Amino acid sequence: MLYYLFNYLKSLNFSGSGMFQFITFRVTMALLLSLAISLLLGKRIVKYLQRKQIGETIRDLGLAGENSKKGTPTMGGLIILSSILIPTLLFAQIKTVYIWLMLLCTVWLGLIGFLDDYIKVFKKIKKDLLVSLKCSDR
Amino acid sequence: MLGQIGLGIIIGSTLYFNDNVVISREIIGGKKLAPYERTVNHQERVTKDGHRFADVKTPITTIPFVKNHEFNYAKLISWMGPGAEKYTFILYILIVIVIITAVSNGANLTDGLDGLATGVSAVIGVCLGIFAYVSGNIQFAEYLNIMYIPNLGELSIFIAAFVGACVGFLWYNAYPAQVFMGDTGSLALGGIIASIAIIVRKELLIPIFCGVFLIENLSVVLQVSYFKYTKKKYGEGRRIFKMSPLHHHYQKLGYHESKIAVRFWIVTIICAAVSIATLKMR
Repeated sequence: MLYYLFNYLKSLNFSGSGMFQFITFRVTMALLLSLAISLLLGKRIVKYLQRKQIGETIRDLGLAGENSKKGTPTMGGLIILSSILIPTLLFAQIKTVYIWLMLLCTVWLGLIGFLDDYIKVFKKIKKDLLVSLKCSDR
Repeated sequence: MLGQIGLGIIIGSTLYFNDNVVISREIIGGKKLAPYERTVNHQERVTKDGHRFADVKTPITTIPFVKNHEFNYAKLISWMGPGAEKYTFILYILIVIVIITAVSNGANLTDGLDGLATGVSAVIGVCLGIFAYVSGNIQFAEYLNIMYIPNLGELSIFIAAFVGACVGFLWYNAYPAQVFMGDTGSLALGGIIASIAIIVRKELLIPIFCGVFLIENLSVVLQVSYFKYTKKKYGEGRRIFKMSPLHHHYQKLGYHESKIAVRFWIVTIICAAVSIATLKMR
């Protein structure tokens, strides 16, 4: 969206706004912004997920170091999704068919995966709850 | 699964029917277009050495390793009769669905070790970014003699954000992982990679640059089918790998998981370099 803003500013001869015409400039900015978002926002999301105890269920495969993975939160894909969507919306020309197609693809598959994860986590929490209830009955 | 099919239908039909999805192709003399192809705007672009180009809507893709040959999906169906080419879109959409499902499934399987799927996707993203940038830039496309696709440069911005997101996520996902991406991330990564490959018309290169996803997918398919086959034949199931997907096989062999992950990245870098080389090497 910034593309359109700076295009407008350019028509007013605002200095420096012509940079947004160059794809290489916008590519660099998108790369830096997505890195910044994933690093800064990522920390908060990781902490939030840890607090919510959204841990992945680890299949028992008999592999080394498997138990240490218990309790690691899943759904970190949220970090990836947000740091793809925000820079794209800001720096790309959204009217281009390819861009909105890819945005749709990201949101669509992200949503499906999120529901998948959510159902898994929810089932696990429910199961844990039942187990703890049974234990307390005794 | 159903979601991937739905997405495949949307992407396939948009790419096939949308008037903004065009490629620029040279017109030689008064050569006529096939009945299923059409020019979108009638402006012609003339290069310095007198070649004429026009924006054409046509379902073609690049064949790697071959010069000046592009594969037209209509050729797959034209043997069925003279009018059959009109129905190319059905075939095209089916192919798109298969590609998207296969690649996102591969990414989902690959996501089993700390940092494995993230790093592999980042490398593939860089490779796709180069494809998108050179196909969308008229000078590069002319120099490399590849398909020029108007407006594709915008896509490289999306890919840059994608690479940045992968690398940023790797910060937290690297061994020992603080967070897993889950299906939320892996399905999206695979689907994005597949869709971009289709948009830049390099889908025949997917087996090369998505080599890791392919072998992970294949290892599962081989393992399961061999197990079932031997169970039927000998009464007991036998295995090819100690465990599938492939990265668990190496884990069973005693490699440390971060070593496996880094080695898989290196394999992907080699695959990506080979597929970038096909731009010039043909």
